[in-house]
Amino acid sequence: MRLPPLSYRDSRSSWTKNTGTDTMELQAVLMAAGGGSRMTDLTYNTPKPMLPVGNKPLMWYPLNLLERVGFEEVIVITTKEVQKMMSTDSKMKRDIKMKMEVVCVPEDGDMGTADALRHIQQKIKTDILVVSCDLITDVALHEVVDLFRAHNATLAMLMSKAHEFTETVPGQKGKKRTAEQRDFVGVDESGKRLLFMANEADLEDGLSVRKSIIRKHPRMHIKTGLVDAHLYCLKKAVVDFLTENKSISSIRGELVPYLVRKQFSKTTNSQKVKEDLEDQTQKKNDCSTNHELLISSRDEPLLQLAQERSCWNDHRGDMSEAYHGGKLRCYVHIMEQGLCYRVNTLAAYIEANRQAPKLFEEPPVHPSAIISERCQVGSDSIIGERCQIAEKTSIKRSTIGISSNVKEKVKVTNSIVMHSVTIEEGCNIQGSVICSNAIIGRGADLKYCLVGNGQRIEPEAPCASLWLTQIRVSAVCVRVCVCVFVFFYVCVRACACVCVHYIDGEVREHGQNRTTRNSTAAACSHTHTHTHTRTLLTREHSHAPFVLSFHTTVAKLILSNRFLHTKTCLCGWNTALCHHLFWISTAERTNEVIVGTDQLMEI
Amino acid sequence: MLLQQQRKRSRIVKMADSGVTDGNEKKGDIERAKNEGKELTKEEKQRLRKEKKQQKKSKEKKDDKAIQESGKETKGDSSAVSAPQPSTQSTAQKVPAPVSVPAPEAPTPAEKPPKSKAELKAERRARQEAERASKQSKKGDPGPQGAVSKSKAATNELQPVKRLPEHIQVDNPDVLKKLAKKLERQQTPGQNSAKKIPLRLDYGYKVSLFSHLHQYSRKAPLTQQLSIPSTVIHPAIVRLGLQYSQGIVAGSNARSIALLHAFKQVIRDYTTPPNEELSRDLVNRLKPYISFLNQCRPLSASMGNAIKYVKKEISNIPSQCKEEEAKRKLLFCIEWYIKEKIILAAKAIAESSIEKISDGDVILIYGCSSLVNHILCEALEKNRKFRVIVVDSRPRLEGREALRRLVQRGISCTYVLISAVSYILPEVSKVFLGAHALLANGYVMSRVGTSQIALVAKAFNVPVLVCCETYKFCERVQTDSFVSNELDDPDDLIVTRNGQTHLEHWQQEPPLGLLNLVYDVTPPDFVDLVITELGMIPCTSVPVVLRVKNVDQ
Repeated sequence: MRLPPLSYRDSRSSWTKNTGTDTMELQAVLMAAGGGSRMTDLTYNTPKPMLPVGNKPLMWYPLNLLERVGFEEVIVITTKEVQKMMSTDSKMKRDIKMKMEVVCVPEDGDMGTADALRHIQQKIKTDILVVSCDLITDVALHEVVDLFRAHNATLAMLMSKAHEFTETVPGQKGKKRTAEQRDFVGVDESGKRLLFMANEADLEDGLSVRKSIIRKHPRMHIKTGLVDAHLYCLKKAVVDFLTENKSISSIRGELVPYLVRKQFSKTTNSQKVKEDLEDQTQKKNDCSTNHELLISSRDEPLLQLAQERSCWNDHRGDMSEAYHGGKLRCYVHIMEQGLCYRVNTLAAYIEANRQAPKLFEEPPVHPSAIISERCQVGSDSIIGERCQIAEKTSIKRSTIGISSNVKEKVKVTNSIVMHSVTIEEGCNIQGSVICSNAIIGRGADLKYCLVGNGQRIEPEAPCASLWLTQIRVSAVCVRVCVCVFVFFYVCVRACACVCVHYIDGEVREHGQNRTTRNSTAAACSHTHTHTHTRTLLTREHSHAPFVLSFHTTVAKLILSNRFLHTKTCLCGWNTALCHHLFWISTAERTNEVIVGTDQLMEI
Repeated sequence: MLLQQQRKRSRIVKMADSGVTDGNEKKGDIERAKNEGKELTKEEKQRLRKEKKQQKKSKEKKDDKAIQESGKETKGDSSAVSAPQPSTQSTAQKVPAPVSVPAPEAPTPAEKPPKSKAELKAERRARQEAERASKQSKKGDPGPQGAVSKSKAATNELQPVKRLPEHIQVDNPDVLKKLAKKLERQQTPGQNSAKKIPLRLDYGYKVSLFSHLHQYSRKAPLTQQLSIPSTVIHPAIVRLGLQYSQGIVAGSNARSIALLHAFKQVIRDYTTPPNEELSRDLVNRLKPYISFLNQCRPLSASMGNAIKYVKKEISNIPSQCKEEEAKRKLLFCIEWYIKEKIILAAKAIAESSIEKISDGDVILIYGCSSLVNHILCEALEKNRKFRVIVVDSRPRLEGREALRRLVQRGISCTYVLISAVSYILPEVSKVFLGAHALLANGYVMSRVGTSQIALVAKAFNVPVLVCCETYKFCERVQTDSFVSNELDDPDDLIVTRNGQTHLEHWQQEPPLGLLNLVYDVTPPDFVDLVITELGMIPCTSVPVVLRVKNVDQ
């Protein structure tokens, strides 16, 4: 599905001058300050907006979407770090011609999306279109905006059918992907009006729908399996409301459910009537409406008159007028087909990389790439700028990033190779993600691996194999379920084994401390590492490669390296819940690289 | 002699211009208004109307094509042409002065300098036109006919280009090209072509007799081709266009009110660019908006009149007027129009039609007319005891909305579909109908099905009353529903029942065509009375009302 070339942009600014109109219809806001907490393995060194997808930074896609439909300026909310990278990124400079107004927000502050909107409130003059930086889609944006326009809606959003990610994800095995909480989305018969929204996590016992909704919309379709694309059209009044109401900090988490709920609450409906009745109480109302949303448009009575005269109704079956007299209306456009990915997990990232080439018309092989004639590059592969691909190499269904160097006799299939990666002779890489600046040693064989930023895989690793392990670590005194993804990359010279560990630990309250049985002992035995943790692991698992100790406040990892002659690379990261992660190593004769989320230590 | 002929031709062409007075195509009008002063235009129109009527009568018996052409306001007869000769000659040649005929007052613009710029332009144009005509006639048929017939042929050949409004010539690719060009032209010069208002895509398949009409698909809105923060078109207009095309704003009155509301927004947000005059620039600004709306859904006659009014008011603004004041004036004018022509008119109509509703009446209404609903509600408030039968028809089922509104007020109603109308009519005492427009020949243009109702009512000897504000009166003349009509999305005709859609793939069946006509015309024979805010009149007095209106303005 190729999209039409850019066409609206030309001489647009001159038009605004010509016509002297300053009526803007929509302002675009790009939210690009998110950390990517669900794919920390990738975003460790590269902030999420700058992650390469099809050799373009992730945030290029929403920006391109906006530009393609005709936006001429956009407010980008991001962090200092991203701003710096943006200014140096050639793709962004070259391809994005619309005016970008970059607003930085503090990096580590807990700023939600709604907070960010509040932050830029002065810049917002009209209704807004908020897009998240991780949206890759070929949606016909006018569908969403038309809903917003035609129904004079307060909120219009985009949802899409959830995709099944078929590709094998490095470091993941089996059907363990239930972590995502399902959303329940209630729409009316036309499938456009958004009536109800609930998340599985918020439901304690069953789905309860308020009577006021059922009364007005007796037929409601409740859908699951939808993904919120995080694309919202919002009325200016909503932004004003946010500035008044400081308790809301996230758009998706709080604002949208609030608006959806508010459609049927009494206050919004009756408020207007009250104001009409008595002008005197208006002052009082103004005081009390600090936390209320005021939706009104110019020439309200005239519009109402038109609506009264119009023989149209959005529903039937009861005696009330169109929209049930409500002013607050939320709409959703559900994409039935087409691309729509939110790149917020590793699986989505991989899938997006596969699909991204379909989105734009560009030669898959960049002209500045040096490709020897005697190599095979599949048409479904993308080769970035200044790449060097040596002879007898085969690249299939893969993305090779900018300035990467692929040497002779390398086979790359189904993989994503980011920028400035060196792959030496005779490597076989399959289904893997190799982050920037990594060096893959000669003859390495990587299958479904994830190689972290700047990692080096030793050469002469004749048989590299992948280990996917899921170890359930039970820990003490934790009520909250914490999912911790730990990714170990161990390269052991002795047995020349590349091992990728993925520990999906569900820390639960548990009396005994021991790893569950399903940890793969085989993987561990290969590494010949002895590990020990002070609190957690029982002896029977002492041959596990690493020991993790998770605690909500203090998480400790103690590595006691009794193993000799090993060289250990250890990448670990944790969710924000594990604030302290101690790495203690008693190893003396090893070169260990221990990578934590917030530190990089070399012992 | 030749010169005279040329002049004649040019005159014909001019008249054709003025003949095209229907809501969509006002360009000619305005140009001429600029050139010659508007008094003349009106007179010409009136004259033309008379002629048209005569011709209609004479031509009605001819074959299909002829009918079509007559609907398209053909004027082949040289005799008819020669009738208005003296006055038009003067317009084409010298001073644009309205001579003779009913114009009682009319300050003749004869005071104008004899060789004004506009006039020169007109002359030049006439010459060009004549040349082109003669060329075409030479090419077309190297006539065995006499001079008169030759001129006739020439005019005939000119017709498709000059006379017919574009919206009923969709089957002609040249006209479509012209329309596209026109859209381009309407933009401010110097703009990139990418910024013009796009031409909306046609649905693709049309029933054979109706290939000359636009047919849009609801699934392909015009906004698809527009940039999203719409820079070319004011947001209020975009919103309105969408509401038109999706049927959220439907019904003549609602559409006009919404249009005027949108115009108010436009005027409010308008600032005159430097070196421009408000009266000119604003009219030019509105033009693309109007063609955008016209593509969203063909304009209604009422909207055409409203637009005409707004444009007139804008052009009436003196150039030395300050912008703020001019805008205030315009906003006031629009308010006035809504109040006077729509709200108060409805009130007046309600008052006079309540007299016609007596206790015990059984009133049949069709579809959902805001005016008829208003009348019935008012009548209820006046404590008339009556019962209403709401007749409805697919595909829009607007009667349901009428039913809801009436029942909500506490009027006792019966709801039937149009197929049951002959069954229900014996118990009906009066039929109240709304109208989309009243045409100059007395025909009532209204939602499709109305003429059927009127016909059956006539057969049962039930009086048929049409309620219509005078701002919906239209100078167009139409005797059938084929020539100028609106085609709605044929997919609306498809029903899904119990999860089954039988006609889902109707496009794949070549012998099958779906026709979703929006309007039909009811001949005056079936209408007993038209209730307007001016009083109760017979259908045939529409031209009188129009004339009075013209004089007033």
